[in-house]
Amino acid sequence: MEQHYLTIWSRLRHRSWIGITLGVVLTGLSFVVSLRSMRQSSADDDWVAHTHTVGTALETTLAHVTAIETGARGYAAAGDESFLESYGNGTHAIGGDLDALSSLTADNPTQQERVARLRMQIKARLAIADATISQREKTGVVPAPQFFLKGQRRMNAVQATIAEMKAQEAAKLEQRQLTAFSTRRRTEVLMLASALAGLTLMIVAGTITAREVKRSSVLLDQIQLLNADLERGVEQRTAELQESQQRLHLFVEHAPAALAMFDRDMNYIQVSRRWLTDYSLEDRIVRGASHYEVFPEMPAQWRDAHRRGLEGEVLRGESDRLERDDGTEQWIRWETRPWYDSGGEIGGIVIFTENITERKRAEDEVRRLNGELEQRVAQRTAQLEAANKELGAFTYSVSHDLRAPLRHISGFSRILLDDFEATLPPDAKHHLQRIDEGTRRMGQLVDELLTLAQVGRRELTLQVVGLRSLVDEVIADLKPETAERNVEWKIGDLGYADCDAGLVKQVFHNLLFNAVKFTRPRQQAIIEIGQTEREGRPLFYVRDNGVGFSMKYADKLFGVFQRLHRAEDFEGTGVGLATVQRIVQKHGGQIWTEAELDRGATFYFTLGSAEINGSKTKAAHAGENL
Amino acid sequence: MSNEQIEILLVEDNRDDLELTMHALRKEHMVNHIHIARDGEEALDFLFCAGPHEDRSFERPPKLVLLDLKLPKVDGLEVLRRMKGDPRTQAIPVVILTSSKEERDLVRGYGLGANSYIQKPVDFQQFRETVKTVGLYWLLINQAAPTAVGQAASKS
Repeated sequence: MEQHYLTIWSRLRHRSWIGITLGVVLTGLSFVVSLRSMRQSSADDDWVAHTHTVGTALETTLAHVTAIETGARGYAAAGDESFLESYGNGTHAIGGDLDALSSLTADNPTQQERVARLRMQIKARLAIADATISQREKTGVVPAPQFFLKGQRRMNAVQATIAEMKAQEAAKLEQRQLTAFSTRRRTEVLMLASALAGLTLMIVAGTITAREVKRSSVLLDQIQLLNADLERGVEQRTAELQESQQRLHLFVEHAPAALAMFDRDMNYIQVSRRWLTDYSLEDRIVRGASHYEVFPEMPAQWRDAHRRGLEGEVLRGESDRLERDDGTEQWIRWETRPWYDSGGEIGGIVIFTENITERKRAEDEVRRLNGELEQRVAQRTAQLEAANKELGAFTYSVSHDLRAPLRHISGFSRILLDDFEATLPPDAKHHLQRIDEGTRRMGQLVDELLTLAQVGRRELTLQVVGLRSLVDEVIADLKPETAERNVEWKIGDLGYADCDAGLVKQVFHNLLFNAVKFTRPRQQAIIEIGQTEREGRPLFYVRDNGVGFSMKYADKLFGVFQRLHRAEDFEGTGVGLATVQRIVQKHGGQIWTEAELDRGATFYFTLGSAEINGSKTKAAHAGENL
Repeated sequence: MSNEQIEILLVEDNRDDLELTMHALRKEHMVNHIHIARDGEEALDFLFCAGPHEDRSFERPPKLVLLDLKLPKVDGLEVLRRMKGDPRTQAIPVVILTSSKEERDLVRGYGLGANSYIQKPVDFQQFRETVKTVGLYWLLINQAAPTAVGQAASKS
């Protein structure tokens, strides 16, 4: 594109030079010719004027001669002295007239001769005139005719000479006019030719120029358009660049991270505010300053890292200590990587750092607290172990020492009833029965509480247990309760569970026992035991068509000693379901219930131990599959 | 009585328990062949024919020992350990009859060679049933080990 403009411009310039040179030459030529012609013409005009002057001088001379002749003649004829005035005037002027003629024709020898001749002839005439006048004066009469005749002849000679001279001047004038005419014609031709040449040149030059101007104006328009485009582009690029720079600047400056950009000499180019606040540099102007002036305390290994960064390596450190000059300690996580200039050369490095001092402190604090906590946990564990031991001793004691007196009360009241039945009044027997019953209930309560306490203390012995056989065992155990009743057991598919067999049997026992108990008013008791799935885990249930309960008391169901029925209607201690819940929870499972008053109840539970002891379960199942 | 075959050694420190057990045994007509030890030491003396029982012979061991665990002086498990650790007494069936249902007692009891472990039911009727069943089994159904006892019996 630019090449194209240059070509056009050079061509234009080249052509212009030819035209201009030609124009100058032609104009100069035309000027010279015109000048010469003008000079010639002016000379010709001078000559014409000169000829006329000579003519006039001749006329004047003739007039004066005539005046002399007339005066002399008149005086001689009439004797009137007024004629002498005309004669005097004539003689007085004639000398000057001849001198003027002589001077006017100085360049012409022929005319000079004629002037000389004229002078002679006029002199001769004057002599006649003088003689005539003298004759008159002397005689007082009219002189003799020969005077007049002689005068007439001499007058004729003068007139002839003057006519001759006039003719000579006229001929010369004619000749000069001819010459002037031809000169003017030549000049005119020349000027016309030069004008024509100039005109042609101008037309040609004008056409070329017009064309070139037109072309160049088109090109100029194009150039201007392109220039405008270019300028717009440049402006846009500049704006974009500025915007991009501003964005970058903003980005870096306000980045919520400590960032700094350095040149090859480790002088700051750009830095984020976070960097300044992290290293307490807010009041310093770091841009342009050397990193090592700002941080004279910079450890050698970091200087080394910068050097390696400048050689193109990307390096990072997770937790390095920096001791500042003011004695404070900082912990830094950092990364340094080179940046490349437009030429692909390493322009310097960018350092990203994170001041993890606070985190480090927090971690140390957490460690310290953890230590304390561990100590406290150890303490509490020891306390708990002690408490557990105490509880163990307590339950042992309950088991042993509390049951014994109960047994005794029961035993002796029973003996009274059995052995002294005949002698005892009915009231006494009734009271003894109540004692017996009370002790039995309390015995049961103690037993169940012991079980509950044992569940809490006992370590689970996990094994893969076939639940169906557990349920069957429980149902067999419950035979005494169901023997005289119409109970339909609906047992669904039950799988295997990774659990403590004894404890899970206890769960089924308590649940099935409850189901049997609370269906007692039903003609046909239906008790379902089954397994479904919830969230990919087995869910077990025990459902009965018993008396149920209102769900508003559901939250009380699993509390120790919580009962929803009167003891007269349904005996119980309020410990059974608490024990069930304890066992289920100990397995990592959940238990809940759905019930409706007089419409039966369903107990659902999961055993989460599969998750707790996943590896163990897999191993157990693998063994089973073999 | 000392001349008669002692069929049951009842080791029980608690007077009430003792009385109730005796009542139950009396009902089953087994009371005449019972010797009572009120603590572990007495039990060991009897079993090892020592102290007041040095005139006793190992050849006439009891057919059954009903052993309580919580005993003064020497506790039940120690008595069991000594019995089962001695060839002269190890064949004598021992039924632990105790209030405790503690697992560790069960484990240790069986570990030391107890033949049976029974928790005394609170309910007296159940207790009576239990005593009756135990007596019936060990004294009548079970075939005792062939010791000097049998030979002595055949001689008489």
